Amino acid sequence: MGKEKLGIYIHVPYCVRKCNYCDFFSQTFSRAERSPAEYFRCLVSDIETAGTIWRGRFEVDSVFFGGGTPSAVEPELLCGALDELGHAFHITEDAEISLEANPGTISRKSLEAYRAAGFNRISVGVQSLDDGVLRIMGRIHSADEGLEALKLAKSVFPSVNADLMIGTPGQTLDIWLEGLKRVLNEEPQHLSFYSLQLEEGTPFYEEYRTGKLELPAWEENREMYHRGLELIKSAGYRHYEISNAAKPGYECRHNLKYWTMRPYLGLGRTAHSFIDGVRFAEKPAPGPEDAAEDRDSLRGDFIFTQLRLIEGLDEGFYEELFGSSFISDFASPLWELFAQDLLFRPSPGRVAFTEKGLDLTNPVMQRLLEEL
Amino acid sequence: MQDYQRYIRNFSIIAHIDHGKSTLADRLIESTGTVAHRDMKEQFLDNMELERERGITIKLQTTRLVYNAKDGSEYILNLIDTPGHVDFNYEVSRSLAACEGAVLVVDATQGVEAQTLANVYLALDEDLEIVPVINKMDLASARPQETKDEIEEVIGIEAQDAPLISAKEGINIDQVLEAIVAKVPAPSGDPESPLKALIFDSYYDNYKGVVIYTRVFDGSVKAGDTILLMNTKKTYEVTEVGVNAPYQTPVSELSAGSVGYICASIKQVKDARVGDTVTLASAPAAEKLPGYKRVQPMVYCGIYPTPDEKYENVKDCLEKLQVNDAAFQFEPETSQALGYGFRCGFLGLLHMEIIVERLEREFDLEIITTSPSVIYKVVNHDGSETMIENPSNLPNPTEYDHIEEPMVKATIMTPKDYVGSIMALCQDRRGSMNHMEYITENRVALHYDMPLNEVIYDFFDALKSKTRGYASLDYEFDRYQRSNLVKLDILLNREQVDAFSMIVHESKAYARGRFVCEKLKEVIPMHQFEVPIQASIGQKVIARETVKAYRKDVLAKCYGGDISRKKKLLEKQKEGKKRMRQFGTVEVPQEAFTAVLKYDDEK
Repeated sequence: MGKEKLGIYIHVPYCVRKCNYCDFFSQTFSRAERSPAEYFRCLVSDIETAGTIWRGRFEVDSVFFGGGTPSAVEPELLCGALDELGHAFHITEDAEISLEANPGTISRKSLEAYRAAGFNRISVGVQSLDDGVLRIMGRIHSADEGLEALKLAKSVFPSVNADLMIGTPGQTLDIWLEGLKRVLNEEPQHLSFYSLQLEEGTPFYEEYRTGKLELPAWEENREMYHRGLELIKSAGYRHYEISNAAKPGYECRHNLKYWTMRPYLGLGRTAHSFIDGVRFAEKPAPGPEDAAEDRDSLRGDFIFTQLRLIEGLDEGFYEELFGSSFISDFASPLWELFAQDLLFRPSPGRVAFTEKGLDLTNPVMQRLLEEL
Repeated sequence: MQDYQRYIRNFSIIAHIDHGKSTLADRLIESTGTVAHRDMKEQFLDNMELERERGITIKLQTTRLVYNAKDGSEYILNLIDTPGHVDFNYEVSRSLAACEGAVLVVDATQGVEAQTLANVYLALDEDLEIVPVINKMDLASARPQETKDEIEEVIGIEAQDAPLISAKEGINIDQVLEAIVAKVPAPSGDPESPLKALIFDSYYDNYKGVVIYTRVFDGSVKAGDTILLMNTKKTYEVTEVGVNAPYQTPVSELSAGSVGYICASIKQVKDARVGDTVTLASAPAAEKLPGYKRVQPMVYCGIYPTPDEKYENVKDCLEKLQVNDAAFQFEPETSQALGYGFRCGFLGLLHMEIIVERLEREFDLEIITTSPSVIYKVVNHDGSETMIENPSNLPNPTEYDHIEEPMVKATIMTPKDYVGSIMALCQDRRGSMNHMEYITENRVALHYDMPLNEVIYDFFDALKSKTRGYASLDYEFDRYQRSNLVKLDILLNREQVDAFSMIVHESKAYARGRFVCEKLKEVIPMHQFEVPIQASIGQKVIARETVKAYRKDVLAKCYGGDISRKKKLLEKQKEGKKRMRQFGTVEVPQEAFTAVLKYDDEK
């Protein structure tokens, strides 16, 4: 009997320095509520607890150490936690085991240590290959260091992602495309290209709101996105999520779980889990206060996540989960959105964003969520 | 005088705020053994959580102390605590009317302050014997001799033998008790005459109904009597009489000279108003006690439920508060921007802040409060008058002859070094000086005529900051005066938001308009479009700011931890649309309404 598959996310809330745009929970070492060593002791104990609760039912086919900056803490801590995961759970042979790394915090030695411990995929926060742009963002590394890190990662790991950003202050279309080409030359197996989001509470948000920070116009941001995509696709990558592309077979298994309503367990501060329709956070298992989402909320989640896939939302899976037809449940907004050329049916049983729709994903999703 | 009266002393403690009134009350209670030390919370008489936290007395309390004096006799000392703030002057005057004496606490490091004087005058109006006490002797900066001289010079009462105490450290508290016994006259009054008792406080108790705190001047009252309240002319049957010792303890009767409480199944505090006279329905007194007045709110503001809060909920809570606080008034009103809510009247700004805070904390309400406003008198062309409590109700200038605003007489006491900056401040707030007097070589009293509307924004805060806390303020309503006032409107994305409208003096309109625009710019979040913020008088725009636009058409990043939060944000935008209709197209956070209240002098 095959067990169900589970993804595990481990949050590492430490950074050398907070970037000006980031609102993920993370702390600089000098201001942390507890030391990394102590944090990982708690984490390991949560892993043990989670193992006793879930290992009977699940086997683990993806592990993701995110942050924060996982590579900013001692490699022994990450490797130790991964080791503990191996004891507490059954991790499958082919499991994808990723960590996020900042170019300013890695060396060949540390990468080899991660690889030896069992990590087989690394995501490198290159972000930009322009020093001016990097400086404004508050990154701790230079463009050269970013590229170096990518090369190093490629030489140690079988699967490498490069994280890039578009629409950031000081960035132009030329800067973006030129940087992207240099990244493509290194042939990472996976690319993420995020349009900058201004999140409340970040320095960028306040500076922009009060007129102290200039951003590329929205139209320019979109041009960066579409022109970048053309380059990426022509280099042999498959565009599979709004902001992600991969060489065939290298799609991020872990992240796909988020977008396809598969179960995942998040451990550590602010880490979220989703199992049996229940969302819970910062604990190994749901408590009595964590009720399963109601049907409408889950239908909302389904649309909100599955539409992010370029191949589109899976109507058959919708019917399987909710016992009704997606097309008839959302008939009236769907016909509107089809007519406006924002959504279409790329293949039977799928509804997806058109190229035009990819620039208006929020209003489209809002329109659908209104139906609930 | 009756024999039992010989051993009763009825007194209050009066002081400028922070001079140690409540701490002294605590020590008196503690040293007479009225409350065991282990039950002693700091500021025992300040019951409300809010009172203890802010270190102020809001509702007055009364306590009966039993004191074995050095002459070998046992005395009953009735301590009637008074609220310290100018907003509650009427309550102070009524509780002083229940006493024969007042302990005047003066801080040995600060000397006589504006509210010291104001309270002393109130006490002298009631013919009370003043017992001066010099407090805070534990502080190195205490200057007792100077303080004594100041009391004698400024107030004109003998102070050389005033006890030198530290209420905080419990030093010389017995001297205070002895001084009360020796100096405060025993009460008189005939227990056989018709009942005449003064209500000096009342509050609502869930089990007993309204509890009246009273001082019996003539006659006596007991359970089973039918009482008549002489101003409201209503009758009730007494269910219980008692004293606070310090917890409520029933007694068989209260007779002339005593202080205690009466319960008579009264449903609302407004039926047993402070200042009213209690008598017996069967044998009423010939005339009532003097001094009763209906309290009039001085400051108004709008209170509205937030979109997540139910109107009925807010109404229920306002009603509950009113049951307990006769001075607080409210009536329904509607705002285009905020929907259905209430216009509420308060004695002053502090009273308003306290009520709002209680609504938020005790009742857990989510409310929006609009800018406080005074009541303007609009004189129409035909000579008739309209009172305006809500700025957005001010008619067009063509529709009336002129507007009048309430003026107060303000007294500011300050060390002489700060006179210059205070005069500049008062001038900026449209005050005009009546006269200035040196009360001692170093201390000055400034008497100003000022518009109340200038006092209710942060005048007191500004005064404190300009004088490093040394100046003190007291004011009272004086008259209405014709003034050049205009209505300042605020427009968000070119649509007027009525809840921000305010009435200001023409000379202040530009500065205020600019200030509000800047404040709103700080708090209004980004929208998909640029949000112009404008201040206008009539059609004329006098200030403008802009909140930049940010397009949130695509959510680029969405992972595990984000999913429910990001989805909720999207759904909130959807709900926001509904709410946005009320604010025109702009979503205004709740804090915007409080942000524009704080007037910052630097701007």
